[in-house]
Parts: sequence; structure tokens; C-alpha cells
Amino acid sequence: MNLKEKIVEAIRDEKLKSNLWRAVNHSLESRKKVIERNYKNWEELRTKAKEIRKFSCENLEKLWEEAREKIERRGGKIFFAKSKEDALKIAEEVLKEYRYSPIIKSKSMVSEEIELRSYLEKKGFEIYETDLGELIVQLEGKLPSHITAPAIHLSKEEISEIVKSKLGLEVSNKEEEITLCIRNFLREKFLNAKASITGANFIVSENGSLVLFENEGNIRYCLNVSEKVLVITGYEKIIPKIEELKIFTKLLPVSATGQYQNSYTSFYPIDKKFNLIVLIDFRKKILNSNLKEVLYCIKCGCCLNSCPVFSIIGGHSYFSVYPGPIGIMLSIFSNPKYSKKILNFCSLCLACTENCPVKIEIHKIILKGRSFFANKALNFFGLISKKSIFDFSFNLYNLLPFFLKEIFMKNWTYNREILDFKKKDFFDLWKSKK
Amino acid sequence: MEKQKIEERLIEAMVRPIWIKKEKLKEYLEDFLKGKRYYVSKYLDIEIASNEKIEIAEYGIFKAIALSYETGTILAYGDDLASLIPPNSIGILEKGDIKKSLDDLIDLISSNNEKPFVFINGPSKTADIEKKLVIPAHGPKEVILFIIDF
Repeated sequence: MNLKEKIVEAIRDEKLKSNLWRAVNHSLESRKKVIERNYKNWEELRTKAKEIRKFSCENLEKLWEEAREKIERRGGKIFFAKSKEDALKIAEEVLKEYRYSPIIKSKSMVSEEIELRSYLEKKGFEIYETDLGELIVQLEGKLPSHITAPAIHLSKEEISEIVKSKLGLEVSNKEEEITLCIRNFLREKFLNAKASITGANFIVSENGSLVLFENEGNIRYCLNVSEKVLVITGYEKIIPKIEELKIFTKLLPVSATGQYQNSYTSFYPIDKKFNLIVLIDFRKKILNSNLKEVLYCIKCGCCLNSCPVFSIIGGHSYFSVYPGPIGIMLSIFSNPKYSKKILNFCSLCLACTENCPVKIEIHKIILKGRSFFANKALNFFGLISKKSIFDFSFNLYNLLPFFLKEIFMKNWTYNREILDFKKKDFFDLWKSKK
Repeated sequence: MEKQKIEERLIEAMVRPIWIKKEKLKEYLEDFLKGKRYYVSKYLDIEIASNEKIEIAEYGIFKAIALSYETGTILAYGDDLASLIPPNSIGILEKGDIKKSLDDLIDLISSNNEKPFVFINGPSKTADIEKKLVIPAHGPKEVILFIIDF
């Protein structure tokens, strides 16, 4: 199935549409209420957050050097992986003695970027996702469809079926019972696990510590019950000081899930129990480009919820680990073979930019991406950049017989009336009023 | 920092507050835990010993290092598993450790930056299934906070 087919399928899926719509609206409404009630200084927080992320991304080498010193002094290990393949090999090496015991894993976008779990599973490792939504999509065999609500594309009946068929457990289709069933299933893994894999929301350079946000409690298990913890994260995920968490502990839960506070935020000095893999890959390359703001992203998923395109087509339509507005360029960077057509998944409404907690100008990034990947060969003699050519084409279209108009515009006319182009467009009217 | 406001914010965070005088704590706790299986955190010294292993205890009693009353967030030691494994948890907090905001809790973390810490805000929860809120997910379903009043 290609991109277009997938989108059409998504648009026509009433159940997906209603689930997705309910989910994103709920997050946005809660977010709005929490900000109104508690954060009169919300804009100030966003500005500070962007400054911190900008400073961090401009000083990554120095910050990682400081973190490394603190981590190694405690006996922890840190590896900088230049590529996905490097990261995968290091992960296998770090976990090799645990090949035949169950490994518990909590959410990590980078681990999905490099397809860590399937690589390790092919090598004989037994890995359990412990975030409820991630476990469900692991069992389903698909990618998560949203950064913070991975199973949002599934109804509770579908989830119940997946649990029944893949885990062989009897369960109703009530949310509480499904959750209880998975709680009991994973509890046994938690209490017997010897190794875990986690991601990182932030690494703090000042004392070489790891910060992780959650609601379920599975991350706390992953951090505490094992003898060895593999942490995998991106090169851009570091901030200088503990003090700066004062900003992010406020911005992140509100932006990610519309909560004032999430249930558990863990602050862990990285010591001898931990092995940290830091993936560099494309991140160094874009540091000096005009697209470097992409690296400021804290993966809250707020732009996904804000996006009118995402909330109709859903995460799977992007065929990427990183969906939504920020995902458009992230997907292309992390996988250069990726279809550039996703640059069109945007109506430039700017809702993402307005809501981004780190004030990334996401719409500008998409525009720059479009400009970069535009098929310049089509613009011979600069013809396509000329308004007069467009005006000419529109006037020509207006003269066509009805049946030809229908054919040309079939994607529009499938559920809309045929329209003619107006003689004067917005620019003409604006000019004439001046 | 009035008592009522603190209680309101705690209840919003789904934490049940119980105010208790220091000299009554042991007696009240023993009465509360009568007939129940419980595990007491190694970080507490309250003259009550666990009567069960942590994996099968119903109640986990953990040390609440501080509280940010604005958000109803409890600061605890990250490896204090009495606040994670048993399905009900009881935090023991000294009234003097009630702080205003998250910023105050982060200052505490800053000044002791070699230890693991965790912010606890209510019970464990998830909304991964059709965005319906379910309590608990993997952690405790109930959080009680005993606030020791002098």
C-alpha cells in the first residue's frame, strides 16, 4: 500500500476518525484548561525552553563531555554511535549475556528509529514492551500511530482481540479489564527481569543523570528491578543543568497529555548499572543547517494533536516512526530514502508552531524542506514561479467542457461540487483595493 | 499554605491526605494496617517492621521526602520501591517538608544530585485504550499521604 492509498483508507475509516478526533481534542482541551488555570506565564516558559534547547544544541560536544566524565566516574558506560548499525551492534554487545532471559523495555523513539527490537529479536532476544500502548502495537505487529498514544488507532474491541490471540489470555473488551490483564501479565516479567532497555526524555549534563516522564509506572520498574539497564537516546537530548528541569517539568506533561503533572518523573544519576548509547546519525549533519531547530524537539506529540492533517489521516499514514508535523522533516532526515511526498501533509495553518512548547517554527521547517526538495527541473526557464502562467492555466481550465473538468479534478470532485476558478484571485483583489 | 488548600490540591492529584500528630503515628498506622500485608521502606524509621515481602504486600509504606503543594507532587527516593510495587502506597511526610512548587523539589534534587529521585503525582494510570482513563496501570492504585503535624 502506498502513501496515497493509505491516506484514502484512513479518511474513509469512520472508526479511526472518531477515535483520533476524540483523542486529540481531549488532549488539546485539557492542555488549554491547565494552562489557563496554572500558567499565566506560559509564553515565558516556552521562550526559556527554546533558549535552553538552542544553547544545548549549540554546545553538544562540551555538554556530552561533561556528562561522560560524571557517568564514567560512577562506573557507568557511554557509547556514541555514529550510525544506526553501530548502535544496534553496541546494544547487542551490551545485552549479550541476557540473550535468553526476558528483557523489559520502555518507550524510546530512537529505539524505534533504528528498529532495535526487531534486530534483537532476530538475534534470539526476548523483549517485552512495557508501556501499555507500545505492548499492544508490538503484539499487533505495527508501528505506533502516535508518539504518546501509540495504540490510538485501535478500538477496545480490537485491542481485546489482540490480547486474546497473541497472549492467549481470556479478557473482555472493557478498558479496565484489559489493563488489569496486561498488568498481571507484565508484573511477572517485571519481578523477574534482569535487564531493561529505556529511552530518555532528557540527559542532564551537570551530573550525568537521566530524566524520564511517565504515567504507568513501567519506566520505574525498568530503571529499578534490573541488574543492567541499556539507555538509548539521541545526541540532541541533553540539557546543561538540573535547574532547567524547572521549565520542562512544567511544559512537558501539559503539552504531551494535557496533564498538570504526570504520575512519575524519575531523576537518575547514571551509574554502573547503566549503559548509555547516544545515537548521532543525521543529527550532527543538520546542526549547522537552517533546519537545526528540528533538534530542539522534546518529543511531546503536541504538534500531532494540533495538526488538522494528522488528526484526520492518523500516524500510520506517515509510514514513519516520527509522524505529524515535526515528523515530516525528522522522517526524511532519519531515512533519506523516505518519500518526499509527506512534505505535502501540511496546510501551513501554523497550529503546530503556535502550540510547540519549545517554540520550534515547525511550519518554516516544512517550507524549507519543500524548497529544498522541490523538483527544480520542472521549473524550466522559471516558468512555474510566474503567476501569469498560473492565471493562464486557470483560465484555460475554466473553458474546458464539464466532463474534462471532472477528470482533471477527480480528487476534488469525489465529494465536492465542481468549481471554476475566479477571474480575480486574492492577490488581485488585494492589489486592486490598495 | 493553609491546610484546606493543601488538601484540595492533593485530592485533585488523587492523593488521600491524613493529618496525624507525631506521637499518634505509630498507633494509628498499626491500627490502619491491622490484618493487612505490608512492606516498610528501608528509608523510613517509624518503629514498624514489614510483615511481608514487597512482591506480595498489599500496602507499601514509603518515605515522602517533601511535597510540592501547588501540584500535589510527592518527592521520594527513586529506588524506594515501596511506592511502586505494592498496589496501595502510603507516604509518610513531615509537615515541615511541605514546599510550594515543583521548583522547590528540584532545588532539593540539585542539592543532593548523586541520589535517584522520583516525583510521584497520584496513582499509576493510563489512557492508552481509546483515551479512557484507567487506574492503575503498573503501579499502585491508591496513594495515601500521612502528614505528620506537630
